[in-house]
Amino acid sequence: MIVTFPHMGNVYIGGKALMDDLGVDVVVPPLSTDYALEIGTTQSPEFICSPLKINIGNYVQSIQKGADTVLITGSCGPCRFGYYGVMEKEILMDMGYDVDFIIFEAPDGDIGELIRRMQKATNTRNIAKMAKSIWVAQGIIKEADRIERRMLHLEAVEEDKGTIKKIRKQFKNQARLAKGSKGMRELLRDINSKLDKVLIDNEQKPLKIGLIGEIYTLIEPYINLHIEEKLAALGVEVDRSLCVGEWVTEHLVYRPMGLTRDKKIRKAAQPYLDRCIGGHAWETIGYAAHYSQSGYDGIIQLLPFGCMPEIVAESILPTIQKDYKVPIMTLVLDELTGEAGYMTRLEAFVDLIQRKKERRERHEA
Amino acid sequence: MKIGVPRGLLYYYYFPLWKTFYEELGHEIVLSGETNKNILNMGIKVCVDEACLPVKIFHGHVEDIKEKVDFLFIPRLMSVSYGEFICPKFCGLPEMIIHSIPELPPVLKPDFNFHGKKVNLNKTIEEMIGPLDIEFNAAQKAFHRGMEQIEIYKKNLYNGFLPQEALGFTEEMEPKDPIVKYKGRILVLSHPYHLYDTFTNMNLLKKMETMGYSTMTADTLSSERINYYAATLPKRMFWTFGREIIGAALYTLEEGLPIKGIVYLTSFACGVDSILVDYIERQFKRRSSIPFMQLTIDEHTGEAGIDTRLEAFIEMIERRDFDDRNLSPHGKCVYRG
Repeated sequence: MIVTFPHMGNVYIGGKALMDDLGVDVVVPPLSTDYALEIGTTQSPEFICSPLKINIGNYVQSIQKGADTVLITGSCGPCRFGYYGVMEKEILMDMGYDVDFIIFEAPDGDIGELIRRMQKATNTRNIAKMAKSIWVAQGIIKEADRIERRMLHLEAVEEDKGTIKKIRKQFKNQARLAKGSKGMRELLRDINSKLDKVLIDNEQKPLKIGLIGEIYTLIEPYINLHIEEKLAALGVEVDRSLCVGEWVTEHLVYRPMGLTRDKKIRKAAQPYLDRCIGGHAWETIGYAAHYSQSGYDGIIQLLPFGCMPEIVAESILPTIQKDYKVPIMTLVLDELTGEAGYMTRLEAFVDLIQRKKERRERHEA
Repeated sequence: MKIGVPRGLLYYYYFPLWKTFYEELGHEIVLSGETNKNILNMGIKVCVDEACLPVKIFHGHVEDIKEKVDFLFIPRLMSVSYGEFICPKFCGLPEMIIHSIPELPPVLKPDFNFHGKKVNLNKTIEEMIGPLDIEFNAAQKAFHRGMEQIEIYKKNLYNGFLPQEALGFTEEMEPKDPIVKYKGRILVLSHPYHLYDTFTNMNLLKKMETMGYSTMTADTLSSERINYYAATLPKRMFWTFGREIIGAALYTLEEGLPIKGIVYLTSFACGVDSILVDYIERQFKRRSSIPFMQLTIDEHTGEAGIDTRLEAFIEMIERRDFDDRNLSPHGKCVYRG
């Protein structure tokens, strides 16, 4: 059994460490590129959301390198993600690839089945060993998330422009090669100490933008055309609402037990949308209100074209904008998104909030 | 009181319940007009771009009646049967409307949530009453009367009547004689708000009838068999309409019901359909030679284009019976084997 899994932000960092530790052969797909998306676009349903298209590209590239089993998480709707596993298997089958799918979900709340599937994927029946490795892996993903956030905040105020960009590149290249959780930890430590040395320009007071929206488009830099780096280059400090580490624990641990960790955000969403309607609509609304309350200058919503829950959120956002007077822009992403038009919109938005901020400061002075 | 019901989305599914409920309790139901160009345009104006056609049309219907009524009725359908959901846009429909359309009358937005094991029907009934001056006991009775009406309505649909007729009936009618005068049957799959809204689908069912073909929909098939085949999916289909549509498709496929072709009517960028169409098409391609056509509509669709595709599809079906040439209507040459 040689396993692979689709890219989703930093999942591959923890995933690879986990599989290495357990002695499972793993192929990490090449980072998503135009080529991966092209494979997916030609083979997937036309109107499916773009994450699935990229997943297909990831799988095919991995299969060509020898993978024969796909690991993904699941959910039970109403968002389309819940049916990804079934669809992807069908698509690969029609392409002539006969691969196994192991879907990490508890069908109808059956935790036993989830554990059986995990045992199969991790090649061990020892639950304690498995649990320990998973715990270590999620720790690594969280640390990677933390480093990413740190880089986001530093990038806007670094003295030597381009330093963070270099570190990020190095991080990504080495993460694919690091062996096991030990190697990965070393790498993370190394990157952290590099970040400690980054010189900061204390004079700068950058604009602050909060990123909200659908999780995949938020955390996968390829699909959002590296929005974070683009904004940083415009001198903006970015905060991203969702991280993959939290997502994994939330969906694999808390949700099946009927619990949740983000009570604060749900409370902020309360006046606008008071229940989960699938996907991340609730979080989108909650974080929009949260960022508005915490003095951010602007908010950008990202969603893949046709994302059902985010469309509901999109139609509620104007009210939040009106209530708090913080500009909100929605960017819809799919395989047709052109970089030039995208950049123009980002620049115009940053320009707008910059002027708004200046006007406000003059007014206060 | 005048209670406004927009004639869109699940109107074709639940209206007998809503009508019976409020009329039994002495209130007046005001329906928005039949969908037309004007309603569509009003909807497009107020709704977010990315929303799908039926949601935009629903917005238009709200615009159409908002000034004529004391209350607006916009149910939030989280889930209409156990363990299943509906498209997320339905779950957030009241919010979408309230935050997009200004100057609304008070909105009644009862939750219909039958997802969990414990269904709190009383809560739904209470929310349906809202601020109206109605006694709970009477409301409960009216609700159950409404549910009976829904049963009758569904039976009439099963017997081959269209909602336009079936909504007028209060009791079960004799089944329509389906097959005799037609050349064959075509399975039309779609969500009820496309299937039965003659403006949105440009009178698709009627057009097929004029061409000599009777239509079969998920409503005219036995729901027991539909559920049986839907349960054979590798993973439980968690959308209610998804289950019905996929179940109907698999039912016809597995039992070899006599159909000449399948037309799937979908709206541009429909999230649920993006999965359903693909799954169904793959199954039929793999296991049968029944022709499959997907018709996609949105606010820009011209009727002539739809007509052309439909005519070509029907012609291809008819040609199958006597003609197999270089461009084979069977997809492959049947003579050479």
